[in-house]
Amino acid sequence: MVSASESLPSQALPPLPTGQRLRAWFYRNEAVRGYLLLSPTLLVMIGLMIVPLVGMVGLSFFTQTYVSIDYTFTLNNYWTIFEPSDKAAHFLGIPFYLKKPIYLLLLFKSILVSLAATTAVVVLAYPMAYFLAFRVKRHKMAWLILITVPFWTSYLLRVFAWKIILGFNGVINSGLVSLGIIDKPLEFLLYNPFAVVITLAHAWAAVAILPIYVSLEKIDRSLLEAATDLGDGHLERFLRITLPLSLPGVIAASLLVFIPTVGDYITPTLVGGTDGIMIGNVVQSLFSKGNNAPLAAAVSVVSMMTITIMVCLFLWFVGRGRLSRREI
Amino acid sequence: MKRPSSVDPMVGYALFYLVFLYGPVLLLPLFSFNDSIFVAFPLKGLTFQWYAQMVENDALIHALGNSLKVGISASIISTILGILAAKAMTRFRLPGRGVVSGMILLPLVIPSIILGIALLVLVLNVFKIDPSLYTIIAGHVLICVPFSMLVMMSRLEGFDKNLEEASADLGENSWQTFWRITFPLAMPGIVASVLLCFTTSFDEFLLAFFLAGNEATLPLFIFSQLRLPSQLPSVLALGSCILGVSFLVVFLSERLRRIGLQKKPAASAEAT
Amino acid sequence: METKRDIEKFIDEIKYGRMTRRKFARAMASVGLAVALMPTGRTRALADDSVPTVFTWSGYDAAEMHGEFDKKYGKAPNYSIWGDEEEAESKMRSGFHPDMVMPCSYKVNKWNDLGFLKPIDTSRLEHWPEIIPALDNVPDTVIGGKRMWVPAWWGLTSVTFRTDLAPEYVPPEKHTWGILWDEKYKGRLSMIDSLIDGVMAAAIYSGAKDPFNMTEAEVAHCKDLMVQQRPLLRFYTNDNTGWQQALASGELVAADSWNDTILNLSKQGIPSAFMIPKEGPMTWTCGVAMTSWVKPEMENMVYDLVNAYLSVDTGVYWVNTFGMGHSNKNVYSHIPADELTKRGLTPGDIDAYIKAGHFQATIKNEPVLQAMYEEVKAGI
Repeated sequence: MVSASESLPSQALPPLPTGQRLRAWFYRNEAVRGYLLLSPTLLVMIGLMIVPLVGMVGLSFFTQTYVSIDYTFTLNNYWTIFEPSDKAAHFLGIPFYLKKPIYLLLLFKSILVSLAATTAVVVLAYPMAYFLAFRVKRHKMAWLILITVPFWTSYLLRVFAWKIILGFNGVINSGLVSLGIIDKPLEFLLYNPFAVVITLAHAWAAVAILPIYVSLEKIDRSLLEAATDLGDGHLERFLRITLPLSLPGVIAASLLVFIPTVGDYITPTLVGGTDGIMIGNVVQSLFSKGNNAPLAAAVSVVSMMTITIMVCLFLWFVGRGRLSRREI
Repeated sequence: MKRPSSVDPMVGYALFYLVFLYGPVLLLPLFSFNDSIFVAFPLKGLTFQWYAQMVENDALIHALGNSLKVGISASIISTILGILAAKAMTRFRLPGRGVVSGMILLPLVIPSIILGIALLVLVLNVFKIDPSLYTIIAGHVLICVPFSMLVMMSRLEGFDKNLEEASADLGENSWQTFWRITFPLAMPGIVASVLLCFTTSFDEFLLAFFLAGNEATLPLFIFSQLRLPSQLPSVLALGSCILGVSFLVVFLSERLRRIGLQKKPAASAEAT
Repeated sequence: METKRDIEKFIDEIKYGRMTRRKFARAMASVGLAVALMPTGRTRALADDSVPTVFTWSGYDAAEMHGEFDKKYGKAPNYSIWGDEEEAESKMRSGFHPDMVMPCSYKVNKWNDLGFLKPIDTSRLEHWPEIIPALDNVPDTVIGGKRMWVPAWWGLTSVTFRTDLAPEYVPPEKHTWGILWDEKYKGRLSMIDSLIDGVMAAAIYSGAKDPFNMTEAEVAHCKDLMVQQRPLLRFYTNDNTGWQQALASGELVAADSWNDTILNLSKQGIPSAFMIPKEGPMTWTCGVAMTSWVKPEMENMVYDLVNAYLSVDTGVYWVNTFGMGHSNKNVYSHIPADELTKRGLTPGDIDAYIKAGHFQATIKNEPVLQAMYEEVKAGI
């Protein structure tokens, strides 16, 4: 087999019978083989994804009437989201000069909460993945399953469990009261963004651990030995070899956690209290309660674009760093 | 690598992390034996009535069966599709690779609720099929394939092509090469992917909500029960049972694995 | 899983590779085993096309609710459960077509406009003469002279509060929605997260002339009150379980809620009461409607099912289990007076009791209010 870098132009080949020529071309042509391999996945994704998505983007240019949808093209939904105003709504001291600030402001807030949650998830998960990859010699399978077992019980119930821990008569408050440390239950544990972050950190742990573990598992142990032979201490070895080589897993984990949590609305609803509302809640409410599917579609398109741009920037940034270091 | 000593801080962290993972979850069994419909301390008394209530509940058992069907089907299909895509991405230089991978990862950047409604419209109005477990499986495959592909790619990236080429040079066809070289090497990734997909599907609420017809999956059932205060404890009992069974599965799979290893004397020295 | 990465040793490893594959197959087989271990004894029959499909709230699919139907046909109807009516609406718009739905009265008008409903001929309902007179002509349910919906159950929305934590509100003359704006209980109050039960409660408290059809000035006043209230609230929730649990633990002192809440609280011996506020509680009624998608051969069955929901047996089960009222007036003679009191219902004249509150009607400026409410909740 010849890789693309050394594939020769086909004229340079000695003349062959057509059948063989075709086969040779087929074997040489990476793109064709690659796409052949990709085709099942690609077809499934196009069928299930692109068609509904095009429908949704299309929907964002229509208007909701009382019981049906008016199919004349309009940009009004986007205008609703971006219409400027001279009055500002403030969030964390940042002014939003918009007539209807709710959409962009909540999108911004959702992104912040997700970033905090993602950081918490990845920072907590990395040492555990490291432990699994380097310290566990036997029963790796059992350990992996052990990590995922808690996630086989309903998400709703796990969030509920956090309510029991952080709640008014919860584990923490009951414990502190019975120890005589406090005389009245603490109310600030639950129903705030902190509760959302901790619940998310727990809920997405398995999703973060697995990719990090897989990338750590792949590291060639001889590199680590070489580093030790060259006199690197534990920390140096970790920073120079293990961490850079496990970056693909860390990046995958971050994206896997960050992206879905931006649109999550069940967790904020359950443990976020009055300050817990996020962009997902608004989309859901526009779709079902507000009965304004086109505007919901427009808000979704804007959210999707924002997230996509953020992710692309992040990947570009990481990619550039990696290229310059010539590590992978 | 040295054998970990008993004072390894990593082991300490792992234990802490397991407490963090299991602590909240283990509260569910605790309250499932509590003789009160209100989930709050102090505990009232020991009762088994919630379990009795649960076993009596046909709808619950039925929903559980549905969830298993959906979860297993979706995780296997997604992993197969994920491997194919990841292999193509990492093994070949594809023109338009960015576009393709972007497209496959797209479901991750769409709020589930939109996906659910969009898919429902598609299923009902374009394909004219009734919502059923199959439509839920389709929806779950859609969100699991990106997960699977990412996991498989991080496993396959930096694979040594020489191995596969060596195998091909030894006259193996691509099918044999796949089974003898690629598959064993990709194994940890495959396991991770199946677990991840099953976990995702077993717990997925929103898409299932929109794509379900008359057949409810477990999260849908739980959601409907959470609105009935008197049903809450039996839902906790259910959560405890799922936990228990999951442990059993871990235990059994380990047993089976060891039976498989008995032929290798070295491995049968079991650490307990 | 211990796949060695050592390239040089790989050729030897192929054996292990096979080993690994076998192990993998076993692990997968054990998942299959787990499935086999699941109790599979009694599973419900799969959805049966010969009986109607009912789209309704959870809990209303219990066997006791449609006993008469089951007796007649020897099988139960199919059920599909909705979380709330808005979700149901979007699902039916997208093409889900059940035969029977169970909306509350204020939704009937809109669902009829959406083309979901089919008129009901009450002469085909054996139990129709037994309906409480006050529920006979609920606003917005008889449209163009055609009855689109029949009432099945009713209740009140008002404040449930802990009598031990807020004793000054115990005397009946002190009952007011105002407790939900009382600074003293900051962080110990909650509102129902919905237009009809939440925003309308604020509208009643704000003194709007017709809460369901407010003027612009009234909407603005209502918004001010809700903005003022937000920092005092522990949460907005539309989950019955959520506010009951929180009242039980003392996390909440008072909650915007339904009358069935105190049933569970009193069962647990928690001192609480359900207010009849001086501004008036909200009365609501929900019921049964036939959809426009009913196949002609299914119609008789749907009528039998509607009828079953109106029967005394169903009503008694309903009042006992859910703690809400039932529309059949003969139900109340079967239930002891103190049991009714426990549920916030009056053992006296049910008819007068129902008429005392603000009857929930179609909200006239729904989109405006919804947008306003979202902004309030988001704290903007």
